[in-house]
Amino acid sequence: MKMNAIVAQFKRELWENRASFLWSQLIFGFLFYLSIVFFISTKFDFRDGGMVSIGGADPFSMELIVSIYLAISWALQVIVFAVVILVYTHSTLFSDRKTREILFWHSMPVSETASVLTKLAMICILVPLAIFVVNLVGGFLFVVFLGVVNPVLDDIWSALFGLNVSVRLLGNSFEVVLLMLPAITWFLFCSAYARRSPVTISLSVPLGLSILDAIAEKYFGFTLLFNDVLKAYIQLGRASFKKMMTGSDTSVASIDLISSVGLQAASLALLFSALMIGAAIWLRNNRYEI
Amino acid sequence: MDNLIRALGVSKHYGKKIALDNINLDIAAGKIVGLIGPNGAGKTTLLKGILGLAPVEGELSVMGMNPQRERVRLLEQVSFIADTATLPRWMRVKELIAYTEAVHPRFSRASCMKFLENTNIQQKDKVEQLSKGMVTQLHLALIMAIDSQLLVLDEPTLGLDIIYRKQFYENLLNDYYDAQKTIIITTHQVEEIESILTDLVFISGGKILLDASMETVANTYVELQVEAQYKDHALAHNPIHVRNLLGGYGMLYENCVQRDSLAALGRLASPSLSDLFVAKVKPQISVQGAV
Repeated sequence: MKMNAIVAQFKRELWENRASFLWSQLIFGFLFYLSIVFFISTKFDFRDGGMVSIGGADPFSMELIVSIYLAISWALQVIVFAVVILVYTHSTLFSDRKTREILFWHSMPVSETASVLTKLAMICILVPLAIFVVNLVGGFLFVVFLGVVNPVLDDIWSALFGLNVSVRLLGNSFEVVLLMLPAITWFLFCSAYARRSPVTISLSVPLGLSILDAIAEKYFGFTLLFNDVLKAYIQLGRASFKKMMTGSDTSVASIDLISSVGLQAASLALLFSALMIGAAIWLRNNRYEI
Repeated sequence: MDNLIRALGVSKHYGKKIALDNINLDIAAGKIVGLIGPNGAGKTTLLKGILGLAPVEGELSVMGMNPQRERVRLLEQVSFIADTATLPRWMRVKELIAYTEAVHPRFSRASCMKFLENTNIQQKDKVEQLSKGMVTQLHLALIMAIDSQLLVLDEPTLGLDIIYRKQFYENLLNDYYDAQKTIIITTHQVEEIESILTDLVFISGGKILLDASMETVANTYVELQVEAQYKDHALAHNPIHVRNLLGGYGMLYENCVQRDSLAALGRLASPSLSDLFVAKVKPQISVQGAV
């Protein structure tokens, strides 16, 4: 597939989902910026040596305050995108099959493999990049604001240096996506498989397996391991989220999710994800509903 | 001439229902073929098979390719319009053009823009803002700007008013068709395509009832419009279909060599496609109703 065709596939996804992928981020990013600017405007107190005191608390360095801004902004965008991705993954391989629109897409020389992989890449590559760009622009505007209220060159330079956190947060975004990959690909599979409701399948199958596993364990003395895997996965997610929210002493961006996951678990998760994507492509190629 | 489409023993079942029943069909390049059949005859199933959108049993090759296994490569040479409501409603005209230009190697933006110049369609318009006729014009502009060898039209004018329907086929003939291109059209409005077809295929119950050039059809079939008093003489020549006319009967004959004898009984005319279609799909050889 040629490069411009691949770009066109991404553009198509963006055009179709511009409200969720573009506007929601811009609106949330802008609202967050305004609220922080308003908060700091009313509470800040600049001291000598580029230290900032907010609401009478211990003073922060300009670099740290920018880092905090970026980290909170990033966390908010991750939450917004989590909702967007949840909706997108459930609908993207389902809704076009339910209208005659699919006949137009099928009249174009684009393979289902390219189509499904583009949708996956939208989540795994484009979303972290979108978060990065919105975060960086927001952070830069925040530095500009700090420069306006405290026009000391050294302080502004220090604040600008704080923007490097956004690069580390980009790495974290990719890590979050990797952590969520089994769930993302499961939802995509449900979207490709469902005849009526992808959400029903994506919820009922794990729930059913969980109940079966619990019954097997309680009444027959063996386990299907499903609940153990699910618990471990949820626990990992919770631990990672908690770590992100609390952070370390000096840098809120120093999160290492990959080291939290063992190699065996990571391999299993990747294998499961690959199977789900392979199955989604197979379904798209071999199911003829219209 | 090489066959563009070759179907040998093609069948398709949906559960117990037979959609295509051991079909054999050859379509050569440069033809405009009308695929005519009643609802549920198997037309769309056959087209889906040709386009690789549904698996079929038997041997089916389109431009030497297996439609299902080589769908993407095939669609670089084949265009189709399923009906007027398939363009994504959320897309803008300029986005549709940009997308098609990027993914289709044989698409010409200049040709598309030229077709659109004669319409009221604006680049910034969303498909959902356009009328059904304008959507058809847009779809046709997109498809005609693709230099494909085979164009498949499945009920392309369904739901359009007569002005748009006429314009559709005029554009198709004037701006798209040439001796290198092949067009397959399915429609219920057979009288609209009658004058543009080079070949005719009747399909019913999943079987091909007629597969012939229009020239052959004209030479093979003749309709005698006969007054009631000559009906017995006319029936003696074994018509394949008899219908009531005002004050007489219309009798359709296949391979009738005694045209002079028939001419002596009444007026001979080429049957319309709709009459021929009814005669082939629902033969009726007894005289029904009193005149």
